[in-house]
Amino acid sequence: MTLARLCGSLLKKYRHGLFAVLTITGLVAPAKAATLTVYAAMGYGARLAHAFSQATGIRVNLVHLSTGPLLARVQAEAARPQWDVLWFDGNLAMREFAHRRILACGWRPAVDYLPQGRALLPPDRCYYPVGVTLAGVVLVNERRLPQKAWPRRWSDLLDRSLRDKVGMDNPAISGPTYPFVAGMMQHLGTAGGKRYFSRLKANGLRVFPRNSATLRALQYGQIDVAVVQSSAALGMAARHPGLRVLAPSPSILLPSDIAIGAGVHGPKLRAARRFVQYVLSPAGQKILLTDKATADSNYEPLLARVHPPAVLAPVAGVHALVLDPAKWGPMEPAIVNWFTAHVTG
Amino acid sequence: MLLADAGADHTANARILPGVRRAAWRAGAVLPALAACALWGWPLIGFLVTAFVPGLLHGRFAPGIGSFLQALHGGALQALRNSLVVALAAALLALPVGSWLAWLCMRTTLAWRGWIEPAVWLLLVMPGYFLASGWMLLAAPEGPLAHWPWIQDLAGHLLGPAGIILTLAIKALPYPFLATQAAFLSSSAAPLEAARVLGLPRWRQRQIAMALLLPALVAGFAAAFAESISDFSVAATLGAGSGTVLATYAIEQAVNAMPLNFALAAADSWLLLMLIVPVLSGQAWLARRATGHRSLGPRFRPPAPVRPQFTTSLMHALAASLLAALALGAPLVAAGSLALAGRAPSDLPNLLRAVMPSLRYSLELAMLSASVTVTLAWPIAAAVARRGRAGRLLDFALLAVMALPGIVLAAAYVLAYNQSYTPLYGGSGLLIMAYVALALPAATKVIQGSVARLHDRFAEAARVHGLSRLQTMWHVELPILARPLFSAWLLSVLHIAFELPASELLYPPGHPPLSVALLDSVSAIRLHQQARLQLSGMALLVVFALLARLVFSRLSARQVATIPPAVAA
Repeated sequence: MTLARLCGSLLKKYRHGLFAVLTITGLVAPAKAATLTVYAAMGYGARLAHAFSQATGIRVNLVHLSTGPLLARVQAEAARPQWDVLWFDGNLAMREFAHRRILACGWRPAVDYLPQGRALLPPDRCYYPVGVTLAGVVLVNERRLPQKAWPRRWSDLLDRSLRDKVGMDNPAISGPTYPFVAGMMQHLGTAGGKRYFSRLKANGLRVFPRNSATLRALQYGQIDVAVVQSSAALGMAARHPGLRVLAPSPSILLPSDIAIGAGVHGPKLRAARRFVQYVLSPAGQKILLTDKATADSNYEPLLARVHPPAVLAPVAGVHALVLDPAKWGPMEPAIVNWFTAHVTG
Repeated sequence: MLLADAGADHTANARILPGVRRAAWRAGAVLPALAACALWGWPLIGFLVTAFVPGLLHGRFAPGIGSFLQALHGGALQALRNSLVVALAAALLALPVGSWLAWLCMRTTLAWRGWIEPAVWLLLVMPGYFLASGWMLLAAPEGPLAHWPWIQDLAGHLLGPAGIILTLAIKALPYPFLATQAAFLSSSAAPLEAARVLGLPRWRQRQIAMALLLPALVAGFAAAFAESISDFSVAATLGAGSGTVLATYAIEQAVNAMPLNFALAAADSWLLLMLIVPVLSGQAWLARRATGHRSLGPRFRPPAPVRPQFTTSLMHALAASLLAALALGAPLVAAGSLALAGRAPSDLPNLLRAVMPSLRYSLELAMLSASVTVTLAWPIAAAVARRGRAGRLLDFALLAVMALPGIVLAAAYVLAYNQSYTPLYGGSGLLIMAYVALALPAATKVIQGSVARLHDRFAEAARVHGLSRLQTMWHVELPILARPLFSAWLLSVLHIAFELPASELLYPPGHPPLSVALLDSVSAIRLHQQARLQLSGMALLVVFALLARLVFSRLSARQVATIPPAVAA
């Protein structure tokens, strides 16, 4: 008996047992059940998923990751997506995923968007805006930095008095930071933007992986000024007295978006659409805006009859730039590579 | 008697078809090669080739050196430079401290010297991120030093490059310790006595003593350097948190960020390996040529132990206590104070509920992976022990894999096992494979000595009694090798349960292992949860290790009791 025949007969005889063993040990990726798998970078995702399951009876497997690792997972799984719904801050990455045809397009949830929300809804209906934050605001440690040194304009960060005292996130790792870098390049021109970040680097800019690391550095006194996403800055300032949020003009508008996978069909597609609809419903929005456990609740809603939280006051009225995702999305690899080569090190 | 009992199965064996037996033998030869290919060959070759031909595994053939140019420019180059500097500094710091501890342990009569070796082994088993996380908790604004701001400011310096070097040096300290310990054990008193008899000055005698230790010192330095430059856990905690990007972290970020850049990760891996391989090769070259340092022989005499004076003993004790407090005490105290801050004892169930899923998942995977690891390590160790060219080649391959940074293998797995024809990415199975691939070399080394000491006559006697190879392994070799196999298993469980780089890149979404959950707590500034995870993880694994040892002792005692007196005799 040859080895091949022996293996063949053994496999035939024990195929069910083998499959069970492989599935249990995860050697083959488990087949998708009726459960809806949601990849979310939003802190309130778990609470919302629980409420949705209670309201609809549809089970949700919520996978919570930071935006950077989440985007990496989605890219890595592009050939075999293991998610049904995707939800994170940043329409530039969403546009890129739509371009790669991994998002289901064409459907629009039946919700009453405000004009700003309608403007952010893409014409191909591949993803749906949930709310907006600002990609970069300034968080200052009042106890360590005298008021006259507070940076009120972006150019103030280049001042020698702030040498080695400013930190920001790495756009290659932190999802919300690429829109900030791209926004500065839209504001100053690509060459001017590069010159600005190079000068920041020359002034001792410290680049940390993501919001949390930058905020920790501020908390531990390693830096005195942090450039981070507005929701994170507002959340940190609310928890730790002595921190002040400043919003230099212009700020860059950062929509959080939700999307459904292109490979989702049948009952699961219906469940996914119900989930999106629920997120954008008044009941869903109430959950998102009142979750005190996460800074992600500090966003401006885009739906009629949903009111923004009072905590947004320090960043209200700031002039916000809106980036064109079709232009800046495809430029992300080049700009991020430039940033890594010239600023991160 | 035992052999005779087992031989009773001979008639049953005779019924097995010769073809099946032949096929099994062929499979026995082919399966290890397939396993080696799946665990290391295919992913590593596919990944490293990507540096020269980006997109090769995705069906695109566009060779070039663009990824190397990118890796040798700006931030990527800086990360490599940072790694080189901190690894050199850590190894230079670890070398004298490790050698000093080995000298205290082997050459003095100090009463407390027996504690040194267990403490060094504890350091060896303890993951680097526990130390790093401990420093972070120590320097936290609400940490145990909150009432002493000036000490807290001092501790804050541990969160930068100084802390990275110190943590890596402490983690690498066991390597020079073990290397010089072995040298002290085997070095003879004769050369130094001769130097004294010849009236050489004291500095010259010291020079001779150092020259005798040179191969061990170089080996210790090389191992400490390789360990420090390959480290990912300190790079992902203290390094990332202080903005000091190290090469291993840069590799992880290239395959765990937007945009994915496997070619850059592969080029970074090549450059990292180019820093590690020459150091280890140089050490191996020196060890081969260090024949002049051979002192073990028929006239071997160990030197007389040193009896330090009271003040010298006191200084040694103070220095060792300070080191122990720095390496083990401070991180544990910091974690303990934050873990229990504001918590009543009644909160314990809630506390455990929060950390249990990650702990349980890690322990389950660790036990499963360690079992597979030991099952594979045994025949590999036997093959290495057989000598010959194949054995030497296998031994070299195992050493090469041991020197491979875990993050490089993990990045290679992401690329190799996320193709349409290898759809394993995202499942626990791939994580188990990575754990096995990373733990197998060390497990093989642990049992290699015991397997090599097995006398050939056992196998011959078993063959005479009609036992097959498998039956010989089961009935004859397993009882003899049970203890080293168990040690290898336990060591693998502890290593895998704390493993970080492969876990970080390969864990199934929604099921973070212990190390990933701890890292998430670190990055989310959830200090209390970070401290609780750290302490409960360590406590649970210590309890598990003790229980496992107890069960093994009971089982092995029962096994001995059931051996017939004739066999025992």
